[in-house]
Amino acid sequence: MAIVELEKVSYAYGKSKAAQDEAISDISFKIEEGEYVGIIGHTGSGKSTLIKHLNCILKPTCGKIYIDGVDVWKNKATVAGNRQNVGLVFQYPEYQLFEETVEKDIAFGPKNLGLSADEVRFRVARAIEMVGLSSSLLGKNPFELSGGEKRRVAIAGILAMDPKILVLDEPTVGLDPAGKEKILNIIKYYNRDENRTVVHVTHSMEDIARYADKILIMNGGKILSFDSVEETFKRASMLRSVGLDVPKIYEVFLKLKDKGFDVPLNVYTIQRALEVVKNIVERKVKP
Amino acid sequence: MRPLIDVNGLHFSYLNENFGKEVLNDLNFSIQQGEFIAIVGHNGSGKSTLAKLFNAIFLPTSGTIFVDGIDTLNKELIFEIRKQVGVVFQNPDNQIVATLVEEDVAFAPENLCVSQEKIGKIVDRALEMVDMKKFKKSAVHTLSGGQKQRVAIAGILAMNPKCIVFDESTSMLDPVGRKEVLDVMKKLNRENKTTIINITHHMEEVVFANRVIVMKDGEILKQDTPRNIFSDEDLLKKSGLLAPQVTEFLNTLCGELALKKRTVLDVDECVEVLAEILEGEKIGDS
Repeated sequence: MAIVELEKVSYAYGKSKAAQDEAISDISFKIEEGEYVGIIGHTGSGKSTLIKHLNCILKPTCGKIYIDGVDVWKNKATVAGNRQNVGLVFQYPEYQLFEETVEKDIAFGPKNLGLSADEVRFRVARAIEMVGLSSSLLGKNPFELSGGEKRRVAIAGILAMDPKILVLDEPTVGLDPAGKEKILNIIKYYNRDENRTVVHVTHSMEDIARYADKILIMNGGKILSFDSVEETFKRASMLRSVGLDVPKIYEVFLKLKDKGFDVPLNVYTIQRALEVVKNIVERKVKP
Repeated sequence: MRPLIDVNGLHFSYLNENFGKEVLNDLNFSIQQGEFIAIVGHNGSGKSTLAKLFNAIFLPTSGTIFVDGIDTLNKELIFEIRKQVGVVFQNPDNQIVATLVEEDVAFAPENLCVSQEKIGKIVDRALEMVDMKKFKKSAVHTLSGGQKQRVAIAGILAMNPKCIVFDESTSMLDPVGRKEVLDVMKKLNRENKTTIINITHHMEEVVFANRVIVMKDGEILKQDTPRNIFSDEDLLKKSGLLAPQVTEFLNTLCGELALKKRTVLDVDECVEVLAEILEGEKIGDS
């Protein structure tokens, strides 16, 4: 069963009902449980508007949204239930830290879910471990931490709610390469080891190519394509036409092919590229 | 030749928070007019603090910075320094002051009491440099992130500075916006000989610099060309940096195939070396 299903969803900001004012229009897609979906598209393509629909921050002007089989806008209870199912990590989530200790900040969500004190403590301990921070930070003021640590605390606050669907809006922006790597690994862990559904909005093709199962491309408020990573990158010219790029390593193999080399084209990560080249070289040195 | 920016024994610590903790610790380097510098380093390494010292937003705790021969501690000449060094910040929405593009670009010359007639010419020229002339009468809020950053750059160009510091100016932009801003940096450096200092986490941008300054914990670990920086794997590890994808790929490949190490900086160089490796094997086969 699809865990996320959108049916002809449109949304216009303000009071406008006119089609040309729609930030997203006629969006329909399904995400299966446990999938890792990357959403890309240039600024203003409707990515952020779209994901704000996943946990009822925005109510569609028309269309239906089903999360975990429930029509989320049916009544107040379904809206509240939806907010527990879907954890949304905004851009620069560290700006939303507000409690005086890391522990209190992470505990804020689970506490509001009405969980027992013991359960809250357990959730906090587990969340801080998942984001790879030491539990010795729990007593600290979040504002004493580095930028990368703050962001991981903010993500821990969402993970502590144990959402079935984790939605992240450009979670690695502004971080150094090491900090970025840590965030990507947290997301991968939550998806692979906890078997949760992930929706990850990003501008980085390299990031998406590594862990996502599928890529949804937004352009001008509409879905341009929603397909596996491999099928998506095959259409490099389509990506370029909407101002997106393919991973650099894929570009290398496209150009090698152009030069007449017999190389496969489904190469989107360094790991895969290494395998491919080593294979070719080894085949040739063997008698 | 007298350097444009000359940093000597620079120390800096913030007075109110983390009292006593040095943010910058004994920096010594200089930048010549016309250079294209990239400054890289982990979050909290002191890069952005340094950016704010270049145009006297912050002043050294000890040591000195001379900009075009002027000590930034010289309060009387502080506006002279700010005219010479402009900073483009990270968030495009935080540095636009007016509602219309042309008004925003005119802000600095208006404050410098330039005549109306001259301002018109200055604004046109600045917008032309960043390829935004057709948006002259547009409202700023209708522009994309990359366009807003280019308006911010035009606002700085209106003061005709010798140096522009980009403090993670592309990090909030999409790939198109990033390329637009990067192209402007290259153009200004090439055509106007404007000194560019690009502070960034994006290693793909670093390859365009003629010199890279690597910072860690408030100190300079190394200054060198992009090629030498990206071939120094120990340095990359120590400073928490990652080489561009194609560079990392080829570094690893050469290691695993026990080939002589070749450090490439972009897709085309990578293709060239890979072609050699694959062709070499063909020859060996026959």
